[in-house]
Amino acid sequence: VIAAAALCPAAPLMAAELTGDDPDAAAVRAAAADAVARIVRSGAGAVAVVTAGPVTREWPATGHADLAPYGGPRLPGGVPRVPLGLGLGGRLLDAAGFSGDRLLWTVGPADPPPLDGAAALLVMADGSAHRNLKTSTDLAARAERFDALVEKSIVDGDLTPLLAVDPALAEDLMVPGFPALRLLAAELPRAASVELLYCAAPFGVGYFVATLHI
Amino acid sequence: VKPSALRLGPRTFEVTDRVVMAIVNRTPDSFYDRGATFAEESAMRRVHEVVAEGADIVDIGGVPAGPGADVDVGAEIERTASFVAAVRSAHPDLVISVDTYRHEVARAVCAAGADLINDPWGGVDDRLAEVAAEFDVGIVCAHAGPMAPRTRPFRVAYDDVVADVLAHTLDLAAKAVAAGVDPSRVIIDPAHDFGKNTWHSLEVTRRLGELVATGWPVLVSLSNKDFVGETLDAPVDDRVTGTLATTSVCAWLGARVYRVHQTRQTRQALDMVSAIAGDRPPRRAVRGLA
Repeated sequence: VIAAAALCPAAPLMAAELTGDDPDAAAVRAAAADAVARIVRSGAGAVAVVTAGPVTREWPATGHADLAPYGGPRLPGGVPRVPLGLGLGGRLLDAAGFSGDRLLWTVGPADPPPLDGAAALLVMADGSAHRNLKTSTDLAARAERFDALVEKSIVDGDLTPLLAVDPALAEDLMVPGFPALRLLAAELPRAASVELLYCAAPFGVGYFVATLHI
Repeated sequence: VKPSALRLGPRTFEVTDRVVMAIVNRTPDSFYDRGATFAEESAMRRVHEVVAEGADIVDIGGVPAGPGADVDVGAEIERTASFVAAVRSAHPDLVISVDTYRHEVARAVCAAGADLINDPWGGVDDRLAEVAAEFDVGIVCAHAGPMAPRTRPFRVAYDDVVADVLAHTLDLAAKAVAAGVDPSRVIIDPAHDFGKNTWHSLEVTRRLGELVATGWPVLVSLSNKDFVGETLDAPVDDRVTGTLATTSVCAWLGARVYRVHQTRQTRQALDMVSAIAGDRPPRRAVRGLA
């Protein structure tokens, strides 16, 4: 049973070596570090890190993300490669001193992963990437509404509204992490306590950093 | 591949020429000039000015690169075609380029006298090459990665950004030639910032020699762009120094066409690089020679 979860952005700028000393990026990373530290402190023995991917599958728990495709340093040979979101989640767990078991899963649009044995979830996913339109188009307004729904669901401790969102809408609004958000809602539909540590779109993509406990 | 002369409209540019293409936007909302030359009169004044400052080419654009209000084909033609005709008649020896990704617009401006189709979005409309062939004008084959026109890059990742740039631009160039475009009128452009983060644009700059080595003339469009801004943490009105530094590096590595806002400063930077490279003599040199 999943008793606790943290939600953090899956953006490349969660890797400090890609951003230089950008203060907005640093603020997002600090909030995420705080959220994951809280989950780790709450004593979860096994944490499942999940992020959206083309298909649902498990990845090596010792894997790292290769930042070279984004302009960062190349991952040394011999280190298992995992998708960016999983690598970023693994880094957050490392930074929080987590030493328990890890499961790394990408979640595709169709099948939820089994997550056997995990007591906590670290969900790496974002809101809409259409928050940067200069013009007051319908798309920008809808993107804001979508992100507001995610925010309200977290604050209310009731994620069930996310289960009712049409995946086609999420695609229109450029929410590539939507399958992971939906998994969070399915595994932890109602939370007794929540903390929304960060909620903003400083670079045109909606970021949420939150912890949820049943 | 041995590089050769670039022939555009009334001009022939040799391999050692460093060619300045001045930006003249017929838009109310482009990122740098913010509508300064939207009106036809101010745009024409700008053309006269950049020609006096040493521009070899003017690049006329009717649609901003960034997201914003929709500009349909009709509106884009209205902003560009008659203006091209006016510039053609005022400056018979000037090369006129039009920045567009739509073949309907390309056809209208070529009919009005344009010499070059500058497609910064990398061949989204594959009929552009047909138009270039039909009117015997030049075409710019650019790399915009996976991005649709007028979108900003979102988490774009490349195994090897330069390999991707080479594969795409060479494919477009081959297709242009196959469609009947004269090979001496084909240019390739890595398109800094288009479908690229700052690291990607820096790497493309560092490895520009790999594009030059293909033999195709390389155009670089660096002017006041975000990769310069992020690299120096400089706002849009403080990027000229970074742009000129990048320009000089590209010139040294063999780029041949420079799409710019600052015509005079770019001309000076390029003339300096040309002199260092031994491609042109100093304008005067009496120091120590008296």
